[in-house]
Amino acid sequence: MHRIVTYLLRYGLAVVFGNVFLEQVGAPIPALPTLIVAGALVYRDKMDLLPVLGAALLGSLLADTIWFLIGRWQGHKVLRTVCRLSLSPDSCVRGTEDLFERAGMPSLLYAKFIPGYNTIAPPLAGAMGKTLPSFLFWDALGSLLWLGSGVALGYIFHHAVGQVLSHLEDLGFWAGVIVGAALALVILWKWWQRRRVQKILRLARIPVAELKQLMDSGNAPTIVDVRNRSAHLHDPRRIPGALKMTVDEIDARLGELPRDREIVLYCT
Amino acid sequence: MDKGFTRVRPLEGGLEAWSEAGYLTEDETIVAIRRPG
Repeated sequence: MHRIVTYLLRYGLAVVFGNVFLEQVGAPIPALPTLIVAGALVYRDKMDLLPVLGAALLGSLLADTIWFLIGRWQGHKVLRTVCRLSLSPDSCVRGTEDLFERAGMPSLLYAKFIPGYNTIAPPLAGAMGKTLPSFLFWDALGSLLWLGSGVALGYIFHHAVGQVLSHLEDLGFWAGVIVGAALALVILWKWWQRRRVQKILRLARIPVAELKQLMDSGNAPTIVDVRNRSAHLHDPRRIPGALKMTVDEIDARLGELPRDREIVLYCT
Repeated sequence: MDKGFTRVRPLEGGLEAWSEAGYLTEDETIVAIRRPG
């Protein structure tokens, strides 16, 4: 284990900073294992807690601030771009907007613990016109909670972490190959799963050109705008003739929708 | 939706895709009606 510890001691803070930054910026490289190892090293007095948390916090805040500023600059457009990485862009945009609308900036306290919301909360805060100081305050608190949890796990389970590191050390060069291959397999599996679901979703959707064609032919379906209130405030446009109905209202207003015609729903 | 509707489909790309394709949109306007007198 000596070599791994020596390596981490020499480059540890840079690795912690880089890993957290890359994950927060959107790369599929989880930072939790690094934080756990750092926590175990803190227990063994090989690393100091404050510099570890400081480097991790800096990486997190830097990445989140970049997303916040992109959100402010690009508005709601950026949400669709970020959500393209998720399984369903429409429900991703709507779901995260709803969550942010309900909980506001304090939702940044637990955003890091919710997959998906983690990446989209900073640009969403920017798109919704929140101020940078307020964003930095809530995001720093939320980041510290998340980073602190990872380090605390490593601190508590330092013995198990030490054993894993020892095994990896025994494997030498092959440890890197195994870890790299495992990471590549996880990314490949996620990519394949997303492509499969996206293909199914694409078949179930109506392309804009087909909808336009139906409207021009006088055989227009009933169009329902299911965006939430904040999306309407930011973008008051709508497809001509569309009914305005939020997802929460649909059940109560089912009677307004015709059963003999096709219905097309859209959001942001 | 299995509540007796003929067919329900989400619009691919949403309002953004509709607008990017150059199709017409209309603005939601709030109209205040003042009673005469």
